[in-house]
Amino acid sequence: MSESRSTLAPALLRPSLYGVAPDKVAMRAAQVPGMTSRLTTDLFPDSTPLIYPALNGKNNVLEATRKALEAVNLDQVEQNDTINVVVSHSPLAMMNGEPMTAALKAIREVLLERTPCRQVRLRVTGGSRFREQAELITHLGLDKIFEGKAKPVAALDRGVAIDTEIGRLWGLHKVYDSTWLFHVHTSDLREVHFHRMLDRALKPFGMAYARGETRSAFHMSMGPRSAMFICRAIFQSEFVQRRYLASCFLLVSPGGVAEVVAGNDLNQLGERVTASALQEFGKMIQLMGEIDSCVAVLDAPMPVIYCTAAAIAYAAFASAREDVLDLDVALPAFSTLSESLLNHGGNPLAPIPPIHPGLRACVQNYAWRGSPFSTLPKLIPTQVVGKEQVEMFAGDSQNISYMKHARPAESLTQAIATACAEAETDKILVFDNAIGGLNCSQSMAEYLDALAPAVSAKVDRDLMPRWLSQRGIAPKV
Amino acid sequence: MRECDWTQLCKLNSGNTICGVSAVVVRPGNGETGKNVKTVFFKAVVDVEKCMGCSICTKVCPTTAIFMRARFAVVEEYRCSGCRACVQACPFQALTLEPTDKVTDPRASVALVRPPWTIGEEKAAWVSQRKAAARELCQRAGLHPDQQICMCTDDLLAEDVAAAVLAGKTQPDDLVLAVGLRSGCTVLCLSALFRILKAAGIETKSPPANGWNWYPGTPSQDSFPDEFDAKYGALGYRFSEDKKMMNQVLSSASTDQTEISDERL
Repeated sequence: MSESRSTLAPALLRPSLYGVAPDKVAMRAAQVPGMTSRLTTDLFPDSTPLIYPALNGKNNVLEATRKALEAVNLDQVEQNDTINVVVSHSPLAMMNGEPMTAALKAIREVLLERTPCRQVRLRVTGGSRFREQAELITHLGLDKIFEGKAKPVAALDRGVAIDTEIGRLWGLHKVYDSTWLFHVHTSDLREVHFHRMLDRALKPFGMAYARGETRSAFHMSMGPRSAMFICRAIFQSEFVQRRYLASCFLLVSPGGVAEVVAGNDLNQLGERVTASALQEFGKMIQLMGEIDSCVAVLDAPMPVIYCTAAAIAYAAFASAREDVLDLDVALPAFSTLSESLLNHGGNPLAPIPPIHPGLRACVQNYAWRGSPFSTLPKLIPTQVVGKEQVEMFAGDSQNISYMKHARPAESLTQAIATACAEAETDKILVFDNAIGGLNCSQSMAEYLDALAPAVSAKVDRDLMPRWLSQRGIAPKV
Repeated sequence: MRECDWTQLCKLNSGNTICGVSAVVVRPGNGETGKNVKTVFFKAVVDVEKCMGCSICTKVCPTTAIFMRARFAVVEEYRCSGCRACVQACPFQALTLEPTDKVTDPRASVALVRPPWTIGEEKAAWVSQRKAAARELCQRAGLHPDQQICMCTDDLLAEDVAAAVLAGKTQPDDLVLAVGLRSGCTVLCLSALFRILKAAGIETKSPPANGWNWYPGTPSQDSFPDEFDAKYGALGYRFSEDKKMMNQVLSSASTDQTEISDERL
């Protein structure tokens, strides 16, 4: 496919404590003349069919969730019990929040229909933007869906001690202040540079449902192929097991939502989640890892590291030249542990692979603060568009040197022109959280078209069996 | 007048100066790494019209800079690191970060006023005076002395924190103001903080009454017993390989790196 096609709609901007007011954004990257797009299915025709986006997509997710929940045993729930339906911010920020909101609505309905319990509450947990959860609850109408029983939970909220196989860890009190916990998540690749697709289904137990102290240990205190055990240790604890009821996952792909699965046995479900994620995202991240040169344009209501192109996060892209799904690779190019092991002179204290050499420059048209990521503009020439955004990042307590490394730019088109000239490439990849595929320049589209078949064959033939085997998952899963 | 904050806004409109901090003088050393950790240009401000007296802000502040007086939150400005934790945690949005030219001490009988200050100005002296002991403490904590501890401040190494601890800054809130730990995201540096305190044999005090400003204790790579490889290896975990990698990092703390670190001071 070499023809030009119209661009996909980028993620909608919304007012937030963490980003510039949407009306200050003069132009979206998808509006830049010459931009085109590729659907996931253009690049990988064997991609799993989607229920979202699709005709009646929201309803598809709702119905699929109800159907998946038929497999869940809820008999142990009693009338005076309380159920916390717990979800982290990340699936609510995907695809403008629409599919996960539909799934949560269905979960609440089913819990009320099939149990005598009337206290079905929502807990929305988050990352290092402590108010994002509250913003999402309001923005997506979750407080109405849960009839006033929706609460945000932040990493610095009151903790609760959880004694585990590796000692005492700290969960968040509001997550566990119920008789039962119903775990809701997705198979999204997202922070693959942290979780390495190891026990992916359990990740929120050690992160979004945990206090900052425990998250810090996950990120900074241990190797990336051990750190996920924190999540397993918490999930396996007596404290969590006596509350754990069931789980529901949106199985997603770079294009959208493929399926909804649910069950009581999270270990069994976890295998399916991991296998699905490797299958759905493996080809796309491998394809991105092959790119020889490009300018990345960030343009989404997400912190810099979480802006996505075909659901691959910018930070994961920065690590994508090495196979981050291969567990023989010890450290990814970019992660908080890798960053911490760059000493003051920028010399690595451990064998850290280089940042993706094809990532030549970055233009930040719109992105949020609210997570530390100043290492990226230090390593990748970065321009920040617009006075308001420059001021916001200059005043960000989590990135006090960001604007020391990044340069300001007056306009998006000017910044792209400068970046392309300096990077000596006309291939542009847009990280704007568009649904269904990615936006890019025509030259990038044609380049990806040419690369994709060989990448697809390599993943099917060599990499998938290896990835599954490393995780003890039989290919049939 | 403030020092340049490197926003480069002055370059934005080709010659038409827009300076975010009204800076016209660049202080010698400004922008050079290693000279400071963080200059605090913002302080938390309470809007008493919005404050409902819930006291959540007092329980999340990493420096315990907020207290309640007459059912309203009051910020000890000279202890505010501008981290924004209280701003985000307040359910009533009663706190904001405001630019400041001066900060005052609300508890002092005579108002103390001082300009924005730089957190971590003493760290170079501490490291210089206690370098060998600080590096040895890092090793005991399982941290490379040149390892970056804080991703937000961009210039805080394990040996800086260890030297501050050896200089008597032994509690989580004091260390924020001493070296800049927890002055950004407030989260990522916590495990290193507790590992260094534990290695120094210091017992972490509890936060002020009913607070959840911090919870001591943290696991590390050493928390995984040897039998875990057999028990969980089939799931993909690589405990021994990661331990080996982390030990190699520790063993690389050589004389050469000491010299690199010296140049920083």
